[in-house]
Amino acid sequence: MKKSNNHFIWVVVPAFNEEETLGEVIDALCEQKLTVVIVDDGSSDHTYEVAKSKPAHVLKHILNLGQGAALETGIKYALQQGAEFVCTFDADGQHGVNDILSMHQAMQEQDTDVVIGSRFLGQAVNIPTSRVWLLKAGILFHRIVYGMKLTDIHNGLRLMRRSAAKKIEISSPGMAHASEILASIKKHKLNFIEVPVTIHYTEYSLKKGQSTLSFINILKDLFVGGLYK
Amino acid sequence: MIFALTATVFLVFIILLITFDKTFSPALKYLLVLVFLAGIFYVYNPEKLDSLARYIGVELGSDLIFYLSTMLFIYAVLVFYHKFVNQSRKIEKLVRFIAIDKAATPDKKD
Repeated sequence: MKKSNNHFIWVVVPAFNEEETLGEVIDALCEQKLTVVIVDDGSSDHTYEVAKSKPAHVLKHILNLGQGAALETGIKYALQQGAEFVCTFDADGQHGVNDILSMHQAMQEQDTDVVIGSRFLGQAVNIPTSRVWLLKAGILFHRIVYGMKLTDIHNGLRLMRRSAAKKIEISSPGMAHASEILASIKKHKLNFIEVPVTIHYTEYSLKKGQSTLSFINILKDLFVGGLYK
Repeated sequence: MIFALTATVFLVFIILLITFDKTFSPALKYLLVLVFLAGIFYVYNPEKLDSLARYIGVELGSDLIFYLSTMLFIYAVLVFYHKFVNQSRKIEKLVRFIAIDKAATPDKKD
């Protein structure tokens, strides 16, 4: 079956020590003819070499700065290269490539600036109960602090139009960037919708992903980030 | 007497450090030197520190020193943290600039 050309969608994948899964992730993205930008965030394994062996744009942070900083680098690069749509995507293999296309379709149909993936509208396969409760607490936090009614937060799968990506600033280098992106959407009054997506939790992604303690760090980063803006 | 001598040596050392430091503005330098000279004075005249404390509304001189130290410590932590955040942001910009400048594109990889 002939795949349609989706080169106008630039998929930014921040990667830190992801040599195990990155190759497959890039292959899946390239199969859908998406333009792939890998930002190696100062990995100590062979992430950079794996990425360079694939047909992707590869950027390397000489120091580990954090996922937020890697996303900012990738988004900035994609915009410089003339990207029309910028998608953020995790490197641990938990996202589905087809979700990007359905998000793009929804964006075009509903003429929105940003599309956010929601695992609670879609599916979260093998999600631990503790993670569900933490995310629900995060959703409540966003509703109270930012006044945003969302069904999911801290989902790495997002799609932005060029005009929106230019407005969204990520100043938090760590994991608080997800909340910062949402706050930025609200600040710039960008239209957004949530679209059901499927997240596959694996032993690997759970090991690599955020722990319960990292949520405390996110709160700290949000607080400190607010102080030093 | 041992404490008074140790404190004097320590305070004189700090005064010398401040005097020869080129990062402080002259006004701040004079102010800090005055503060530490006052410190030496009060080491040898603790009753005068008590009078000063009572004048300000604090019962004891030692309490006054404790409150001032706490405020100074919090101020110093905030100043250093601010500098740390600024430095981190500069490093982040530099790392980003290098990453984008040396980006490997699919058609151009060495």
